[in-house]
Amino acid sequence: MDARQSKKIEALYLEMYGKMIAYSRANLEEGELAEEAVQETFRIACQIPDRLLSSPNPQGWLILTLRNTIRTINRNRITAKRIADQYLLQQCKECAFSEDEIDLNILYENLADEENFRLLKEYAVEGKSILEMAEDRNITLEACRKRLQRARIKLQKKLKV
Amino acid sequence: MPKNQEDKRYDTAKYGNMTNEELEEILRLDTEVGECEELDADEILCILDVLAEKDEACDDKTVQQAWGSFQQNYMPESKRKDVFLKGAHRSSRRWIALAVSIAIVICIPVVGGAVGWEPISRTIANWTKDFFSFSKIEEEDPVTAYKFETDNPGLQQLYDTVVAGGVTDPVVPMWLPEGYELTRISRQNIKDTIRIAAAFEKENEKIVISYRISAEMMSGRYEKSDVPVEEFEVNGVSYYIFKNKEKTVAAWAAGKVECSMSGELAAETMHQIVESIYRSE
Repeated sequence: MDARQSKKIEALYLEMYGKMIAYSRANLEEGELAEEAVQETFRIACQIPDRLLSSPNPQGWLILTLRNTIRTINRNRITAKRIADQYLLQQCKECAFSEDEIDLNILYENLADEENFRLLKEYAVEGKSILEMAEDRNITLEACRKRLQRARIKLQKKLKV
Repeated sequence: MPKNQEDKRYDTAKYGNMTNEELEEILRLDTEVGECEELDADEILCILDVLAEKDEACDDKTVQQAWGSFQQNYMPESKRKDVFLKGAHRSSRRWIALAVSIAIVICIPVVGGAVGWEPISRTIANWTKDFFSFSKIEEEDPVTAYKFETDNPGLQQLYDTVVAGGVTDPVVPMWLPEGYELTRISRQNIKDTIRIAAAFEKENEKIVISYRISAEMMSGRYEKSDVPVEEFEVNGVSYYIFKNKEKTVAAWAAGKVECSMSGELAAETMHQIVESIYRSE
């Protein structure tokens, strides 16, 4: 991305942020997630600036990319939640409760010392953004993404046992 | 670069009498409905204009803070280019003698009774006597940027379509054998699944590349011939190559995307195409 493209994207960011955050908030309950969707959209835009800037309607391009990003975030969270729930149920298979009686909140607390699970819980259940999780751990956004990804893989592997 | 008001096809008066809650509900439904019912970009922008007029606009300080956060936390990732170019290697090849026939790719639920299964980094690959499939697709966050470079305009178009579908994992090859040109590309939204398929042709030969993006426990199944499945790994992703009649098929799953390529090609050529996902040369 050259300086000219950077300038144009910055101008679009300043012009569109307010509208995009409004669209995002209508679709994502957590404010931080709404912001993450907008930031992620501009991250994609910076990856393919030619596509954005050559579009006859760059504002529309951003909105449609934001819509796809929101859908991806929602799918990711649903999947992560499903993995977390399956993991919990497996952990609890020896417990005396029936599945309906399992208090997931208590189980989440009991497993809170397990970092992998905590990551997934924060992402899927508490609705934290990856940036928030990264800041809590004093690591970069990218490092946090990788940790979250590894956590999912690890939990999935446990589910296969 | 503000968009000219004359370009807008929608009249804000249509939405002017609605409450904020009603407008937000329209926007919320927009991400939940299928492609046929979703709003187009101009209509969304029109609704957002109405909301902006009704509500206090986002103040400059908030926008500047968000921009600062973007530059600090997100921009460095988008500038990274060659992150996927390192560390490619092949694991030892595994040949497993398994069975039979041919080429359909159908979207159906994974059924039990898999004869073989092999855990891979993000999915479970299953193969039975007749079919090859992935049993689970790991949803991921969008991955770090990589640089897509190709001399083939059709591949560029395919890449743009895949990215527009919300996929940022490297899944599109940057190279095809000389002479192959894009002849058809399609995108379908079926419930929560997006299917993208592209056909590249050279004279009478064809290469088909397809992607399926879904969070459901569904899997495309690939009929295969009575020849072994070859497994190899590039950048931590396991690829499976097998024969299906005259065609060579490569199948893999990356992040939330299940991918396949097929064509009347030598296995070695298919290897080259797969490896070009991560480098243009």
